[in-house]
Amino acid sequence: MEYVLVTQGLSKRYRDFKALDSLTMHVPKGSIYGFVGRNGAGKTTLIRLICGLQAPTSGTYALYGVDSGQRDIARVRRRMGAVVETPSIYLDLTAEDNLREQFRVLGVPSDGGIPELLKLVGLEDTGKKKARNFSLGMKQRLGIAVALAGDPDFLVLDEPVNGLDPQGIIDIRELILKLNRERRITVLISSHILDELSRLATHYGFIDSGRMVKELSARELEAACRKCMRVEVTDTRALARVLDGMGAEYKILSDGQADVFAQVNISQLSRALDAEGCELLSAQERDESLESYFVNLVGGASHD
Amino acid sequence: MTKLLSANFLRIRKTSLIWGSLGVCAGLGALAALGEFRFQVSVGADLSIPEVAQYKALLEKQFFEYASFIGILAAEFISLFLGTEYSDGAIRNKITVGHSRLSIYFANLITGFLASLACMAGYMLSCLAVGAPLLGWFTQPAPLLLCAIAGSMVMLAAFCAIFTFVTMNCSKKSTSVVICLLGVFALLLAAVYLNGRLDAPEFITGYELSVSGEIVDAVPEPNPNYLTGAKREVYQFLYDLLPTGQSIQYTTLSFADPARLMGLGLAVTAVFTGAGAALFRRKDLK
Repeated sequence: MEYVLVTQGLSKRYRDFKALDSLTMHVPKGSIYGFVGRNGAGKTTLIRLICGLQAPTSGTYALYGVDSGQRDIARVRRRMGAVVETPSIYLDLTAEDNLREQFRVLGVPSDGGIPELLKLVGLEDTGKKKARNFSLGMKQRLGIAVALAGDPDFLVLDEPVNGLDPQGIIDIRELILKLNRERRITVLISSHILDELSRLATHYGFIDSGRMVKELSARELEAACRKCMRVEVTDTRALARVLDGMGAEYKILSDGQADVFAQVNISQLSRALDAEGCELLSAQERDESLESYFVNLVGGASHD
Repeated sequence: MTKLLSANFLRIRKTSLIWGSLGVCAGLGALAALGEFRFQVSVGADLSIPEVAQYKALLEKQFFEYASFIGILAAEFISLFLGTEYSDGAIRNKITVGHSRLSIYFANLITGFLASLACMAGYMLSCLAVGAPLLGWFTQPAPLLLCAIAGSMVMLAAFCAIFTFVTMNCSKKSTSVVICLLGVFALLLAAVYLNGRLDAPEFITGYELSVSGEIVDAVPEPNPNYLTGAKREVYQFLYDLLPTGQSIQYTTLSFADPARLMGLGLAVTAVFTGAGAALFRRKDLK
C-alpha cells in the first residue's frame, strides 16, 4: 500500500509533558484517515509536527516517502494543505483577497482559480464582506479553501467541525467527501466527534496519551465492532447464571440491564430466565458503535 | 522569498494601517513646515531675504524631524502588521506549504523596513513640498544632508530589526505591540538621558553678590556631572549605538562621525536579525 504520511517513533515533549510518545502512524494514499482521540491525546501536536510548525523531540516522519530530515521536505510540503485548529485567514481581508494572498504565497501566477475555489466551498457570494464578519462555518470553509489553494494531494484538517451548527457540519462533511472522491485528495482529519467521523473515514487511527493505540481500516473496524443484544430483566443475577450456563459472553450494565455478545435464542433465554424466577422485559439488537469501540480501546471512563 | 514579499505587499495594500501611517507622516511633514513658517512670521523674520533663511536653516530643521518619531511609527506598524500573522494564524499557511522560516523572517523584516521607509519618504516629500516654497531651499552642505538621510535609513533598519525580532518571536500580537511601543519609549528616554549627560558643560558659572550689592558672575567651577575619560567614551558609545540616540543626532544634524553611526546602526541590525532569525527557526508555533 502506498502511504502519504508515515511516522516512526515520533515524540514531542513540552518541558515535563510528553505530548507524543513514540507515535507510529500510516496514512494510506486516497484515504480519509480519521484520527481519533480525547482532548489532549496528542492529535493537534502530531498535526503541528507534520505541518512543520514544530520540530519533533525524537523520531521521524515521511511525507510522500521524503523523510522529515531531508531538505526536500519543504518541496513536498507544497503538496499539502492544512487547517490547524482555527482557520488561518486574515480577518480584515475578504474571502477573495485571502485566496489571492495565498496564491501569492504559493507563487501561483494567475488568480483565475479563485472563483472556482470560492464556489467549491460555497463562498462565491460573499463579495466585499470581510472574513471577520463571517460565521464560524464560513471561516472554516474559507480556511479549507486557503488550504486548497495550492491544489494539494494531501489535506490535513484539525477538528474541522468543532463548534459548527448542524448545517455547517453537513456542509463540511460533504465538502470533504467531494474533495476525496472527485479530486482524489487524501484527507487526515482529527476529531473527537466520533459519530461524524464514522460517516467519513475510510481508515482510523486511535491515539491515547500520545501513543497510537490502534490503526485499522473502516472495514476492519466494522468487523471488529461486535453486535450485541441489550436485554432488560428483573434480576441480573439470575440472567448472569443463565448466560454462564449457556456459555455466552455478556456485560452487566445496571441492576436491570445487560449486553449479551452472542446469538442467543430469545425463546430459550426467556424460558431459562423464567425457570430462575426472572422476567425478560425487553431485548434490542445493537451494533457496537465507533464510540464504544473507542471507549473499550482506550479504557473508557477511567480516562475521562 | 519573492513570493512571500509579493504576498506581504499585497496585504499591505489592502490594509488601512499603511495608508493611515502614510497619511499621518505626510500630514506631519506639511504641518511641521507650515508651523515653522507661521512661527517665523509671528516673530517678524523676513524670509524673503536669503541670508535670513540660510542662517536659520529652517527647512533642514523641520525636514529631519522625521528621525525623532519614525522609530515609534515603525514599532506600531511592525508589531501590528506582523503580529496579525500570529493573531490570525496566517503564518501557518506559509510554513505548511514549505516556505523556510528564514525566508519568512527576512521577508517580514524587509516588508516592515520598506513600509517604514515609505512613511519616512511621505514625511520628507510633504515637508519639502510645503516647506521649500515657504522657508526656502536647504542651506546646509549637500554631503551633510545626504549623510543624514543615508544614516537615518540605517537607523530605521536598526529599529525595524529590533521590532521584527520582538514580533516574530512573540506569539501574541497584543504583547508584541506593548513591548515594541514601551521599548521604543524606554530607548528614547535612555537616549535623552545620555544626551543630557554628554551635553553637560565642563564648567558651571554661578552668581555672587558683590560688596556693593550687585549680582556678578562667579569664577567658573568644574561641573561634577561633566563626564570625562572612559566614562564619557562609554556614554558616547551607548548614545551612538542606540537607534534613539542616533535619531536625536540626525534630527538636530549634530552628528560628528556619520560613518561610525552607520556602522553601529548596521551592527545593531545584524545582531538583532541574526538572533531573531535563529530564535524563530527554533520556535514552536501553534
